[in-house]
Amino acid sequence: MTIKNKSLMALILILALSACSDKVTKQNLSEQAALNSGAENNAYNGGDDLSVETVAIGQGMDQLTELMQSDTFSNPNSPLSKRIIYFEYDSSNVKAEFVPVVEAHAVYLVNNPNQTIALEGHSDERGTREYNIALAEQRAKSVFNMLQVLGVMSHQVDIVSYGEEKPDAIGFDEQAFQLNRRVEVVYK
Amino acid sequence: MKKIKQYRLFFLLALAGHLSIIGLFAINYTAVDEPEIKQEQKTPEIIQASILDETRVTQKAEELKQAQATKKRLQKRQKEKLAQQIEREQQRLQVAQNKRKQVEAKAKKAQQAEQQRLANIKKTVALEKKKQALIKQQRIAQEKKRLSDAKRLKEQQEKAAAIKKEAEKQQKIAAEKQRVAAAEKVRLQKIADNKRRVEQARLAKVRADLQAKNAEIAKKAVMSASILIDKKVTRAWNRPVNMASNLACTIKVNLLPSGDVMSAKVAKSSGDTLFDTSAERAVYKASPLPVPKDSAIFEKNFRRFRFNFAPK
Amino acid sequence: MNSFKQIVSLLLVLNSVLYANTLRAELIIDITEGIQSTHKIAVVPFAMHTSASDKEQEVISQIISSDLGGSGDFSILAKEEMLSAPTQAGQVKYRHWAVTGQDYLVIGSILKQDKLYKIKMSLFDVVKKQQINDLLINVESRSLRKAGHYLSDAIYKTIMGIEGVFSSRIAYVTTSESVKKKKQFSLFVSDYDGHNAVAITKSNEPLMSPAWSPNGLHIAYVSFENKVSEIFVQTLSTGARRSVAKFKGVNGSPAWSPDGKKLAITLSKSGNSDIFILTLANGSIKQLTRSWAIDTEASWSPDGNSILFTSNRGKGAQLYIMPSNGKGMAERLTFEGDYNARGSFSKDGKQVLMVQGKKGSYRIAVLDIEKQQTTILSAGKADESPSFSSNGQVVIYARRKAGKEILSLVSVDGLKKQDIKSNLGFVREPAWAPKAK
Repeated sequence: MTIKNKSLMALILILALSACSDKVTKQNLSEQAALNSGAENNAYNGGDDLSVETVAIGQGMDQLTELMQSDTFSNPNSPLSKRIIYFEYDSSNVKAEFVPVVEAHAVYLVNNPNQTIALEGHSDERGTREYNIALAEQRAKSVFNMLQVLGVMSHQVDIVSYGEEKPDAIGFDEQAFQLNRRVEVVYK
Repeated sequence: MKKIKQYRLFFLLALAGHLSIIGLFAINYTAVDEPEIKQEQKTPEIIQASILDETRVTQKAEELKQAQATKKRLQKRQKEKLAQQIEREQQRLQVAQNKRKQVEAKAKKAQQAEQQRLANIKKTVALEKKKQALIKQQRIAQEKKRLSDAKRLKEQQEKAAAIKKEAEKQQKIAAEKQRVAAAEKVRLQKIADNKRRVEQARLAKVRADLQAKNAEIAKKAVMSASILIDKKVTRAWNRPVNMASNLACTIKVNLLPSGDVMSAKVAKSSGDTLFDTSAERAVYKASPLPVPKDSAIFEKNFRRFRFNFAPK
Repeated sequence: MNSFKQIVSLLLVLNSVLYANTLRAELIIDITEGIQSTHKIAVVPFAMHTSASDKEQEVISQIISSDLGGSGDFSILAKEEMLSAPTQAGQVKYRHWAVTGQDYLVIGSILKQDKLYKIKMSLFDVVKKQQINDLLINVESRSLRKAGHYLSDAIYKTIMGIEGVFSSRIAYVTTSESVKKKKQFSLFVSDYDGHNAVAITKSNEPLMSPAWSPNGLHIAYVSFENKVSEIFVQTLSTGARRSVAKFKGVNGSPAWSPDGKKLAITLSKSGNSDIFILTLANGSIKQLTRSWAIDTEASWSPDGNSILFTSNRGKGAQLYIMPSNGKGMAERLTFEGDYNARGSFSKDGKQVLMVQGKKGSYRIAVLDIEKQQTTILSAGKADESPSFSSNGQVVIYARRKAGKEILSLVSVDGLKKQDIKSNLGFVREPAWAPKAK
């Protein structure tokens, strides 16, 4: 009982915060938003961190946006809200700290076998472009392999590598590099 | 007189000769007075006729002629003959007379001459006597003189001999001196020669040294000019990029004494025209080249020479 | 015995040399070095003979000046320093140009007749005091720039002995912005100097890796317009294009074979990035590399027998080479630096151009295969996408400068550098078109 109350309070707090927060760049969303005409407020699912919601395939953008804006995916506490996995230089190993994230998504996908995602691999801007395409793909595949091991079906996952062509951060310094070495989990 | 003494013999002979001639003439004078007329005595008529011969003869002839006409012819002939003979005789006589006259004249002349001669001879004899006396005197004097001369001569000779001796002595000494001097001279000469040789050798060495020095200077001048030229051409040589590293070409140049490049031509190609051209251009561009100012060194080394363009 | 013979022969040679030298008694000066400096050239404004109404600028001499000056091989004499302005051979006085140390002189005249331009150009060697080239060309007005480049090429060839690049074209990718908000990517083809730029394709999604066909008529490139990487081949004259590779996973890095019939491409459909050979006529593919490692960025040797590619099979990206028919092992080519990628051969096959990374700085480098010597051509830190010019003398590449992405040129010996000015935003991935045949 107490846990439930606490989590409810937490949720309300988070709601309040997120309602007026513009600062946090939900980059994933913004991309999706480009495809959407508007945003709709959806009712929040209370309770569990992980909410299982079945979304029918082909239900349209609205539904996707809805999903993304749902607590499951937007609540910072929810591992599903973390949809960028960062990597070390010249490495495609999923770092320990991101394993739970991958696991979370794996679980969700396993539980939602109709849900498809795209894993977008990215690299920092050092080095040559095509090599970075391959490098970034390796990262995406690395995440995919982990998902697969966790039971996700291959048909649920598309892999795209953008190499260095779509950087998140501008700059030729370690800060920017770090932010660009990533795999983005994009729900479709 | 001296001379008479000397030629005493000859003088006597001459005197004798003269005297004999005079004697002969004295004899001959009397003989000359008798001419030969024996032949003409045959025809005294003719002789008488000689003075009136001519007119008489002619008259006679005429007379005879007139007298004897026929006989005359023979007689004439005879007479003619005789006449002729007479003529001849007369002529002969005339001739003989002429001759005789001539002879007489001659004899006269001769006589006169003889007389003259005698007179001369007398004179001469007298003179001769005088002469002789003189001669004698002279001879005596001469003898005296001769003696004194001889003495003097002897003295002189002795003196001369002495002098000669002395002279010889002197000469010997002199000769000795000379010899010594000559020897000395030779010695000195040798020394001098040596000295000279040494000096010459020294001079030769100095000259050689100088030559060597000049050659050294020239060599240095050539070297330093070569280095300067090398530097200038190097700076002016715009090398083609990306060319093979083993390319090399030779450019032969003709310069003016000012160092200006008159011509620069490829003597040996590298096989790459671009390389060759760049070398040619480098030489032209570096003109005027810093050649030595000395014209001899310039002429010998830099009037015509070559560049080897061979990058390492 | 050998050494004895050697000594004897050496002495003989020495003797003969000395003998020959004393005999000839001629001085020989050895020049073993030169300088590598620009040729000083004066390009006198061409005489313009046009009708009174025309107010045309004389553009030919300007093009020649920027072409030759931009090549880095020439220093162009400023107009103010010209002592005379001859437009015909008879007017040329060499001393006017020798005074400012000019090596060469370009003069000419343009006669305009209706829409046709008759252009005469004469080239002189000031040092040797002789004319060395003479050209007369007729062009239409729209081809005036082309004519200027043609003359630049002729002048360059006469003086340098190698083909000029002034008539070549380049392809490159531009982006309107660098932030990943709505960007527009464009693939441009222009004159080597950026003039006459035409966008042959545009997309909101990334465009990459433009590659010219050997005959210069087509360009292959990678496009993400369909949300996945895809290889297209576009015909320049018509703009028509077709998709030649859209396999699952990566489709990238197209490289034309020297005969123009095949593309070496990168596909990851078999698990990870590998090199495949695609036959354009029928679309068949043949797998070339089969390692677990990343194999990408293939490029062909000039004889078509080998493929050069980037691989991290040896830990870290390095260049490897293997037979293009697949029969043989891959050999590692690069051993310097931490990172060597995007290799390409020079036309003579003796050099490999690449990106080399060392301690976080990425620079353009050239490897002389025979000498095993690597020359660094650029300064870094983020230099990439090098491409040889059509005459092999210049490399064009992309670099960052003050937060911008620009194209830059560097001579193959690394001595001459020049940035290319552009107002097209961020410019990257240059590809130099091959010499038109």
